[in-house]
Amino acid sequence: MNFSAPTVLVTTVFAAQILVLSVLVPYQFHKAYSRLKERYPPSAYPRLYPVAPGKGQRFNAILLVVRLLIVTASTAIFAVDLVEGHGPVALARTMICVTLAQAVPALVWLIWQQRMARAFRAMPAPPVRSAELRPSRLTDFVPLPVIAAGIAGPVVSLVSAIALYRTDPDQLRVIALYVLVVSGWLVLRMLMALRAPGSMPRPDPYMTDADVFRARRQRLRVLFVVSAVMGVAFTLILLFQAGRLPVDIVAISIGCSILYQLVLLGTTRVVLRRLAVRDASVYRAEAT
Amino acid sequence: MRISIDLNDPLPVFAQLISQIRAGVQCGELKPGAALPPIRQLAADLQINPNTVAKAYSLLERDGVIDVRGRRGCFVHRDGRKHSKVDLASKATSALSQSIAGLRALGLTDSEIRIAFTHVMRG
Repeated sequence: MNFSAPTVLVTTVFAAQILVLSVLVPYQFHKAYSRLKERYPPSAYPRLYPVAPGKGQRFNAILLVVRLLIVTASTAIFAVDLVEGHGPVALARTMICVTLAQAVPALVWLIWQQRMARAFRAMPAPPVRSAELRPSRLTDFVPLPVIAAGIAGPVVSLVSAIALYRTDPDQLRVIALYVLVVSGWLVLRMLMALRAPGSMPRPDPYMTDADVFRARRQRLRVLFVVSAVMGVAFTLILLFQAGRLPVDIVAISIGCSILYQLVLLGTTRVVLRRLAVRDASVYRAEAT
Repeated sequence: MRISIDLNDPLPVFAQLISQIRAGVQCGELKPGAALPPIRQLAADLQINPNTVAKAYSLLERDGVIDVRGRRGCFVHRDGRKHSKVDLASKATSALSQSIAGLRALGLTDSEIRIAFTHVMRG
């Protein structure tokens, strides 16, 4: 076994990653949804559960098994690498592969959320609806520095992609094209949000105005924060690919893992806080 | 100001929008120059077709109650309060009532008047 400082650091970050991504975050979500079900039982609030409860339980059971398999396999592979005395570079590579594997349940969960969102939107709307006769501004939802950072990130990555591609077209063709497409798409989405920030469809016909506002704010903030982060990440990747950023794989792996954990913890906090303050009384069976 | 629509109301949705915006301008809740939400936003908030909101806005613009300034948005017309008191729909109703009364006096039945009205409306 190798007990050098980088190895200990990679092992610590790996352990934290397993704990955060596969134990802490899923447990927090499970606890929050259980509390929601206690406060708003499906029998009294059927509109809050547009997908049959049986399907949801089946999905959660499958997700738990997948998560357990990933955690067991990942820990075993990492432990074998560690016992065999592999260096920090090999361990860091394993950690990155595990990060990608741990993202699979999150992606599956996102697909499930999309399905739930479709079911919510498909509910028949009540005949009486009201709205505030006031135009929304983007600054109502997203603070100005976040807007500036969100636009600056992809723009910097686009400029970097074009500038670096001209210096080394063969090496950077694929990554530059990828950055152009993704950053271009993000810039377009943000321009659309700038033009009509309040025109996002309601998440569901029964949601209160305050919750609709929170949902729109969350989506717009996610768009701008993700754009800023992706812009910075793309620029760093481009510089690394072009050989202008002297960083070793261990540092990159540790940085990516910590960033991923922090982003996930932050997102979980925001989503669960929104869930806790959500006014679900409008979903009562007899409510109109 | 809050605006609400009722799909069970026999009045069409665009007419409900028009009457509420007109009432808001008349009572001063919507001040001259006040910005109105974009068509897509109001349609998304009320979960109705954007064409319905566009129709209401274009009729309000025709009546001089609001001012549509292209991409800058829709605003209450500076003379909106004065214009909102002019009710073209009630003028049309009174003009039609007079015509119908005249036609009835000539001995035409309601069915004949209806057929004539349909012919005229079809051009």
